[in-house]
Amino acid sequence: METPIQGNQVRGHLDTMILSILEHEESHGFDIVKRLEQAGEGSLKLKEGTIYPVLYRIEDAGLVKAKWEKNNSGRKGPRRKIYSLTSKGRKQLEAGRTEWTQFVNIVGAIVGGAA
Amino acid sequence: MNTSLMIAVERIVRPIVAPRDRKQRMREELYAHIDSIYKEEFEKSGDEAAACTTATVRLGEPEIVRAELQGTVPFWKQTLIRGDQMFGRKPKEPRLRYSIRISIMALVFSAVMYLGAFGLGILVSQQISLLEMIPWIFYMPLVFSWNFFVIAMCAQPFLEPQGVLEKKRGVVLAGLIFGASAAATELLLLNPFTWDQPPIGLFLLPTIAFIAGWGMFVLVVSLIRIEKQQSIPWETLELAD
Repeated sequence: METPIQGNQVRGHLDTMILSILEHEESHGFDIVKRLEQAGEGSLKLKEGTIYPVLYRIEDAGLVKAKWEKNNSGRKGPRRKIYSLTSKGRKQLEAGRTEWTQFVNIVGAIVGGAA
Repeated sequence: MNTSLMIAVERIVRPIVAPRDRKQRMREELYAHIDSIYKEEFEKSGDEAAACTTATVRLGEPEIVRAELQGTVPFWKQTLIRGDQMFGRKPKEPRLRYSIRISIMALVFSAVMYLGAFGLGILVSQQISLLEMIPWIFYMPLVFSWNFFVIAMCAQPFLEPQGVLEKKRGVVLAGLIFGASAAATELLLLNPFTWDQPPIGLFLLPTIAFIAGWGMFVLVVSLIRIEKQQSIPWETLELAD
């Protein structure tokens, strides 16, 4: 079994990863963590509370917007904040993807892995 | 709400220096998250205590999450909050002691302000005599300080979850006391020591001060109370350490 990747190993890329998760569908914090872990096929392990500082930072930067879930959404339990991507966030996501590709190409070439 | 989960969240959020609304948002979001984890874990194990422990671990070490959340609050907001905390009531501080502390702070602050203002006035205008101003340097800060004492004494029962005057009519009554204090202040500001004849505004200005003081008190205290009511269940939680 592969060694799990911890949240602090992807710290510099977590913003882009979250933007990517929100690209097609708005979501709340718990769901974002679930979808990140699913996309990581069990190899990504996050300390779940650390997702919120990232969400606040990208919200303050105008990359996502947040609204409280409506009380009548049929679910029992405390209300949640729903995050969705803004147009600025979409642009940032594209830039993040380009940066990531460059990063993989350069580091991959140095350490000998396939980019 | 699950108290154990609330405590886990409050351990993270309480020490954070941030505006009240921001902290309340952190609490609600983290609680919604830990509650979802708890339900997921409980479905797997059927053990409440184990689900609670796992949920707390999955949320992350409080120190790390707290430090990262603190990092999202701009420095200038943290500075403002720290300044504001000096004027807030400390945990378990008696109301009378708090009111006296506030009034002393107001006295010192206003005395410095008046000294500065009169000093500047003397530099700019040669007609102002320091001897004439000395009574005002003491008199005005005392009036200022007294009003802060009255505000602190009257407002505290409504801003905290206990107190005999917790009801709305209590706010109105305390507003009347503050209004009377504001009217008395206005009378003093009219400087009765120098009256040869009662000035025109003798009754009008204190009446305006009374109504304005009453209205402002009720409005401000009610707004603060509405805001505090959301966070009271969290702020009154006893954290073991």
